Amino acid sequence: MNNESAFSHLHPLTLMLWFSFILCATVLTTNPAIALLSLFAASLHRALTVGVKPRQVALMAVFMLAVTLLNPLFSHHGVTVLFFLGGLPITREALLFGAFMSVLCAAAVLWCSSLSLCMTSDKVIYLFGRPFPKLAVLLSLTLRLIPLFLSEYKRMMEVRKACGLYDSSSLFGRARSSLTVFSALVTMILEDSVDTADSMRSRGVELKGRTAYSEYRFRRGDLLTAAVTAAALVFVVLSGAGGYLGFSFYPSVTELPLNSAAVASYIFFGAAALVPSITEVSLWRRLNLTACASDIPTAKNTL
Amino acid sequence: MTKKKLLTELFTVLIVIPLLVGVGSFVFYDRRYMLVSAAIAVVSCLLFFLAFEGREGGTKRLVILSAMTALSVVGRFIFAPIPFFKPVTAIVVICGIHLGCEAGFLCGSLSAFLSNFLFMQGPWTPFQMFIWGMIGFAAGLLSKPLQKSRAFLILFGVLSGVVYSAFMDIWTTVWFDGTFITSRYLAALAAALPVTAIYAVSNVAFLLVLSRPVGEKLERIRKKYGL
Repeated sequence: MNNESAFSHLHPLTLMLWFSFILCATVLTTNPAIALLSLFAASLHRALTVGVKPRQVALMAVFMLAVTLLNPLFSHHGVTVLFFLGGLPITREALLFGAFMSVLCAAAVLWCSSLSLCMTSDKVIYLFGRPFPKLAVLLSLTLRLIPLFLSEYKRMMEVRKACGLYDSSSLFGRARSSLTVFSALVTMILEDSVDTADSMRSRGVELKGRTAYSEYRFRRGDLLTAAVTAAALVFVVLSGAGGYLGFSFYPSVTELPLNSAAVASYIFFGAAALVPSITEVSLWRRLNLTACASDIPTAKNTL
Repeated sequence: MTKKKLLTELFTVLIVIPLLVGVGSFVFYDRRYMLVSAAIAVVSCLLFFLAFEGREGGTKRLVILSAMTALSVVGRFIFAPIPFFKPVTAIVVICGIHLGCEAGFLCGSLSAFLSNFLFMQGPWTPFQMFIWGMIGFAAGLLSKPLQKSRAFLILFGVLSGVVYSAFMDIWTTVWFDGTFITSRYLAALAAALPVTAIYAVSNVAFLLVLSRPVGEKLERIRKKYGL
């Protein structure tokens, strides 16, 4: 939870546009080049923000291997039969398609982890606030209540323990003691929520024209990201619709399209997919440079 | 009036979802299962959210609903060390029984959405939101018999565990490579049997323990403040 990403400082709208484009393109594509680019960019961003954790890498590798090997067991399309397993044909195409799918799944999972890193709950509430004002109130109230309940639960539990009213002799006793506290918590919560509602009402929550507090601004970085994303979107969608990105595994594997429209799509998609990593790296370089720049005058002053 | 609104909601769901299935399978031929099912989950959640926006609901109901949602998220959080043994479904069902279908759906779907900020958001979030919401909705529809009969409550707890698991396995199957293969679905179902059993047992246990005290408290609040 302590991991921060420079990319997450962009405007929520930009983030939503970018993530929906990348996730949709990743899940929808049938082109291995786009899938590999997506996986590469996703792993790069994860490595830059969370870091490389050997256990997670191993898990991901096992998952990808499992997807690759399981597909030919269930799918018997394809013309190149490698061997027969219990009377069922195992084909080269199904194996390759499994590998392709494993790349897509891994990329999507990694992008989703970046998504939950960047799209924090406050940004979601900001985005939901305009089309769903009531829902936004509900969401932000609930988010406030969760830590409150947890701390109240702990407090009540400590008091019960201090009074010697906590039965820790058996699992059943512990469960019953926790349940007593839970029951008290529910009563307190429900009574309190009516008070909260009254005070919200008296402050005009039911009036029209409520505004929301937000500190997001559409900056230059947002404009750049949005422009790159839009360009990639246009290229990928147009080339995809025109059939320039076509690639199929069944009945036999076709050649990777390398016409000019396809190459342009790869470049733009790659550029868009690399935006978070570039933002990350450029932020650190900028911070580093300004640190150096501020060092120079002090060095001069001392001379 | 609420009956009428309920009917229009159901009608929209019955029109929009077949339309999505039709268009989706026509446009996205090879990835249709994944996309169409995701679209259905998202759209049905959005429909409920829109209905909630249009409702003339008091702030008190809103805050009580948010308290119930927070309670189920906290429940999922407190029981995080015991895998799959969670009180979320039980609290969603209680919320549906005592506060109505719409509140049940919102409590379920928002619990899934918010608790995934603590666990992890992923492509499964819309599906979890949908199925937990639907369990809450069903509890709201069956509110009378669920309050009357203990046996029916137990049956509902078991069924909601099984339905939740079976529905999420559809997601697992389809997510795998975008197509639905029956043999793979059956394999996933069989692999998930122990988890399904834990879901069912935990639902029943939490429902039996919580439904009466929490229900009484909710009814008391309703009487005391005239909701």
